[in-house]
Amino acid sequence: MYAALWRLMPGPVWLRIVLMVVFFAVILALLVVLVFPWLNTFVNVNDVTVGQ
Amino acid sequence: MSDGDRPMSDGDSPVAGGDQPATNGDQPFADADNHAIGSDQPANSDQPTVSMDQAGIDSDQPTVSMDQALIEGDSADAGAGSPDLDGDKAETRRGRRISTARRKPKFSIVGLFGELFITAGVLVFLFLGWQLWLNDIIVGSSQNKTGVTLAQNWDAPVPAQADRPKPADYGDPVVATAPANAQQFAVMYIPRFGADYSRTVSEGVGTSTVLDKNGIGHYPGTQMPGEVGNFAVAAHRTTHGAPFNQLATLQVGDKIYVQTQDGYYTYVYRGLEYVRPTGVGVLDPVPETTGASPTDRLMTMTSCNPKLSAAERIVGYASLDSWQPTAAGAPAAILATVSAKG
Repeated sequence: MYAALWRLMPGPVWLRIVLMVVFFAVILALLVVLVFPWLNTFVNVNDVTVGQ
Repeated sequence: MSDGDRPMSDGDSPVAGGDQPATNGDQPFADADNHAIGSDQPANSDQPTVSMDQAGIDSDQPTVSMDQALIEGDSADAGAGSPDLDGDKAETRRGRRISTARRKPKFSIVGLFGELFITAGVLVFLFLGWQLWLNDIIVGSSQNKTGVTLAQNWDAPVPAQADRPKPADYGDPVVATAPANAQQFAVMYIPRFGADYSRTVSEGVGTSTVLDKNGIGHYPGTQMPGEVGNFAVAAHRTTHGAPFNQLATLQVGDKIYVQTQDGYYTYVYRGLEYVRPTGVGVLDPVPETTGASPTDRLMTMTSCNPKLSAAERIVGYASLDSWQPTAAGAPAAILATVSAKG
């Protein structure tokens, strides 16, 4: 999977490294901005109020 | 072909002659074997590049490098005048195939699943790191900023020291009426939790409407700040900015400041209690004493216990120590925080 991704990247090794870093940074940003907050709404281990 | 001829002797001497002259000389088969092995781990230092360069041998490229010449010489030497020539070449080809396979691994379903599982594991740790650490920092600082902004809206010109009302003139604390649900109506400062701690208090304790977003929520139906009875609030102890993360670190006598549009209410921390999630008695005007008529002005803070669990509730109590109207300015202990507003 990751080897195939590496082969997909064009250019010399340094460019591939730069592209891979950019690629994973974008993935991480999407996770933090969109996916994790959405996922967090299903994780409710933190009831803080008292009630009946 | 002079190129090919010259290295022939070179190839002969390091591999066959130089290393094991006696053995090779006596056993031609061992010699052939040695060449096969030699193509993988040869004696001379040029070898690591052999498998790469071998591609050039079969395609008969005109520009023959030193390495290629060496190999050609090797195989020619091994097969010279013997039927082993083909076998040796096959050996060489297989060697090439193996090294090719090593460079470009074939698609493997096991490998794919392995990478997927590793990725899933990394994602889980990323999420935990985000939820328990990164998001707390982001949301917490955003909540602090919101608190400062809200307090800014209440800014009234504070008179010069001489013109400010004296404590004797403050009178009883002003009690506001409860605002609409989810509306932010107070800012809480707890120096024990950090000098920049300024979280808003909103009406209501809805998870998605108040606690996850705004921080501290005020139990509807309980008293307001400064009122005789119980001003009860709840907030997350972990995640979502975790306003009450350090609730258990409060020490008896610690000051808790609640600012509203009307002024500053200074509460003094009295102690902790742990109750079951159904322990609504802590919200009574006189905590845990249903029906009693209150005389004290208390504040109750609830959060989850233990951390990251919903098994119990941690409950912190404080009682009103003093009150001062906005015109008297902020209490000295939080003056820096209040006046640090952008």
